[in-house]
Amino acid sequence: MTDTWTPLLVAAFAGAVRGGTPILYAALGETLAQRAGVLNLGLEGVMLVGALASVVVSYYTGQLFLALIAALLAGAVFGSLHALFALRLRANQVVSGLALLVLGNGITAYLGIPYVGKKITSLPPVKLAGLSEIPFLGPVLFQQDFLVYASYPLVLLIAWLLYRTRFGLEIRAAGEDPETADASGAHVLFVRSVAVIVGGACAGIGGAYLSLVYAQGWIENMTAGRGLISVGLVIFARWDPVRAMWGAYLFGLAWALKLLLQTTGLQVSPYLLGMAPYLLLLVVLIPVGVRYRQGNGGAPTALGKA
Amino acid sequence: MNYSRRFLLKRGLVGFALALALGGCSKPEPTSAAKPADGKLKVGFVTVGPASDWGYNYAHNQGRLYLEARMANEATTSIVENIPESAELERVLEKMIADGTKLIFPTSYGYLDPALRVAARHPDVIFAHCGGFKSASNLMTYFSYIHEPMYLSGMAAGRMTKTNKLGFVAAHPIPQVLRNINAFTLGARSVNPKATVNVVWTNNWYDPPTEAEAAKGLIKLGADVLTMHQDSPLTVVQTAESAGVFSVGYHADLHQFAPKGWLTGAMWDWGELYVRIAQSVKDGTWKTEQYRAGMDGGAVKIAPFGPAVPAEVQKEIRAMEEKIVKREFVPFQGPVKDRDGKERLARGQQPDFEWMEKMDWFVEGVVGTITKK
Amino acid sequence: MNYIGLSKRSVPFVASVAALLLLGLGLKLLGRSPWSVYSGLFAGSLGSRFAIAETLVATIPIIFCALATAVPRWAGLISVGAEGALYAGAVGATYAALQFSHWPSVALVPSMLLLAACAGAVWAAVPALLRVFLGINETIVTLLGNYVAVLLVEYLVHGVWQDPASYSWPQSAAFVASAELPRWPGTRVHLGLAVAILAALLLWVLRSRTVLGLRLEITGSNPTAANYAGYPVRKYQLLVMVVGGILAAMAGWGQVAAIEGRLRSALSPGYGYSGFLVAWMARHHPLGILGFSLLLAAMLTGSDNLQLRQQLPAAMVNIFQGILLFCLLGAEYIADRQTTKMQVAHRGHEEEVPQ
Repeated sequence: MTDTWTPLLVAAFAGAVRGGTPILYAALGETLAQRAGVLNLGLEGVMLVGALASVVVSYYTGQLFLALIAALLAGAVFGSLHALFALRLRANQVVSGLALLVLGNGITAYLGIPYVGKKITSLPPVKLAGLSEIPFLGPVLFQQDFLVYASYPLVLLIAWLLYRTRFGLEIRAAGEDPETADASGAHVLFVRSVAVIVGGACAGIGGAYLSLVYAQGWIENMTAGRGLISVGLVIFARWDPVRAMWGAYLFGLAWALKLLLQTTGLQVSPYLLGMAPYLLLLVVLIPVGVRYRQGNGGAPTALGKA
Repeated sequence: MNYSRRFLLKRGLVGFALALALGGCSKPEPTSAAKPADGKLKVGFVTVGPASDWGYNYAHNQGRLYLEARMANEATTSIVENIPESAELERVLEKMIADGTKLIFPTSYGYLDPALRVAARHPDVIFAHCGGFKSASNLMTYFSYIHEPMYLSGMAAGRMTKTNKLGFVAAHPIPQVLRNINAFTLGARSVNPKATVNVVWTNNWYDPPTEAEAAKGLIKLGADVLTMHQDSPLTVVQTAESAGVFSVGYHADLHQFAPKGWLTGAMWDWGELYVRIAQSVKDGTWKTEQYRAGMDGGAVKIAPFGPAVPAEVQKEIRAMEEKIVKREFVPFQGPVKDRDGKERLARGQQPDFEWMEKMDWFVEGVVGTITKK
Repeated sequence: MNYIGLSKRSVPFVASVAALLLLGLGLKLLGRSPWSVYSGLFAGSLGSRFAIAETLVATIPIIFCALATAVPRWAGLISVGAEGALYAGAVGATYAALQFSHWPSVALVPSMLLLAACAGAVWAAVPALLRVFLGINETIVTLLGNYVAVLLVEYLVHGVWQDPASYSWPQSAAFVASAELPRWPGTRVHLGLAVAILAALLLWVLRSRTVLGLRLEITGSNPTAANYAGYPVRKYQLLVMVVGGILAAMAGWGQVAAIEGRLRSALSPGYGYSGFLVAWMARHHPLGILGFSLLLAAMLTGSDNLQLRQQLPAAMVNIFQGILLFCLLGAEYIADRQTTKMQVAHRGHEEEVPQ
């Protein structure tokens, strides 16, 4: 039994990290934005823009570094669009996010047509010397690619930024009590804008992960709901970057398992197995919900308010 | 923000008015594009995905381009892409007919129902549906048994594998797909009885991230040759190449995407068939039929071999190809048993249309999920 | 310092014109003729009897899904679950059509409607109960439900409900003729349109003319006040979610009973999400929803012509929707600023009294 299950588990956990990474990037960015009180429902569109931008730059230059910068910038530009409308013009954040989603979907579908089926330079897996030899953990965590490795410190960086720095304090204040924050000298509009734009950049990288690592090219609407899942994940993680990481990996694990369990000869309809990631997230939500039943569930008080 | 009732009422009316105004002031449609040039047959194609997918839709579009080149003086073609397999299609077909299209290829399997409904309303328009199991007086169906080159590709995979584990990323458990999996397995085991084929269902015709994850998982579990039945083979072929394992293609020749690991693959070549159908419509000799053929028909073939396949393996496969083209051998010929040992085709029997279209089981050597009904 | 007269009521109109101009400019820059794109869209959606009928056909599920988003919003809940409830409704209707196929039309059609409604209610009750009793965010649960619903339908059509006559193709058996909905002769416009408009009118009356409507609005805009006033907030939240589920299920009922004639997994090209968009465009007002649903349906059906005649992808419609939404927000901002200024200038003279 051990012989069949150990490689399966290694493959599943490695798949969990990989499958969770694009969602993780987007969710980390959204955590920042929501902590500052801004809901960005349009992550799906932002991810698509990042995915396409990285494909185009990779196709023409072959430089992965430039491709990632392009995804980052494209995400930031879309993030600033949200900042402009939802913050500067005090528009409804849900509507502005929806506009971002629809616009991102449409623009990428249109501009991406010439790039479907084009061969691009993709992000290769890199084994981290030494670390990749650790039994179990090595193949799971350290036989991945650059963006996965970059996401580990990013989780800690964002947590540190949020909880340990003055800027983080200002972000949280902007999300909890913008009036008081304003009165105490923090520039709420500026703080929120920065959070939203950085959040967009993160989502752009998440999109680039899908195109540079998974699909190795451009395909219309390749996020297939991952942006929306990321927004949900932020709520699931109670606006905490480390919990967002666990949530992303959990989702990735269920996603990898629904594929891998089939190779064991398990006779369950693949459609029922396909429900696993969603049902699992739901099941985990219940105890979290019960724990935070009081109040608004730990949400930033001013979330979604102009 | 509070809105008064009256304001909202107006907003609704404005919405209505706007929908009308959007074109209320517009001029009548320019008809030059809609009218066929004198005497030319207007041929329309509808695809379920983008024609640039290097896969199923790409192959149909290649057939269309071939038709257009060969019949440049007799026919013009158009294509509508990304139409879902639902009643949406009816609207698209009606619009194509309104534009003067006389021969329509709804190229996706799930288009059958709506295509039959539209065909019943327009007896003067001819339809050629790919893969359908029902025809009408003005709707023919056509398909080519691509599982035959898949059998040959399986032979290549069986010869080249070192782990004896072959990976198959597949969309949905329907007969067309099951035939490919079974033929691939039979082919592989005809040269390497130890080979097993591990099937992973993605539940989706077109979902590159899931296809890639399935491929990566299969590689981690030891598969060293990957193949697929997805609308686009691109993701699995490229994932295999970057992981340094072999790949067997499907739908189209993708060797340029895997210069090292490409073995061969099963591919479509619709051009001649499309010209034949269009020509018969043009000549007025067209008759409805359920066209089915294997490699003898010419619409399916085996893709060029990659550099990794040794000459003797190529020779072996070419010899079998010749036998299949001459109908001296077909992948499914009695006795055929499923993996539970149940006999599905008796000794000496040849499979018929119905047998092919109702397949819902795996042959021995396939590892994977199949739900029994 | 604002001399542009932009009243709130002209916002949608001004925004639409601005969006048309903006997209036209973009098309011009891409070397396309905006005029031929717009006339193509119009001809494909409203330019002929057939086109108008097809636009109305697409309007039906969008109205239902938009209402399904709007009603929960009245009580302050954000549901994105219309797509899932649509599929649930289709499952309910299909169950009735397959089980009671020997019944006459007068019994079969209502029973399909009823079972679709039950399925939608049960489907929506899950996120509703989780929200009301466990405080779990309804937006994420309804979102997850959408993915599960499609997989559930795939499971059914690949398994127990697979039509033996379709070889092994994943679809249910075709419904009997008596299960079909009455249609406008010669078109696909079906009874669902009347039901959708009726539902919108009833909800409009409920919202603007009844105590319940007022209480729901207070619950939505100020839950604390609603609690103080002793309103049964939880009951209201359950009610709006379940009603929303039933409304979206009606969309699924219409699609299987009148359009597809059987259950298939590609039932909706995202009507649930279109409905969400429409509801927010119309600020959740039932009559506004009627208008914006028509607009969106017209764009969806008109977009075929862009592909057929202009070789432009259908994605153009999404770009236009995105620009339109941003224009709406921009125009609202300008109108709001003006209103605020007017209010400052004539304190106490509000433009209109909110209901």
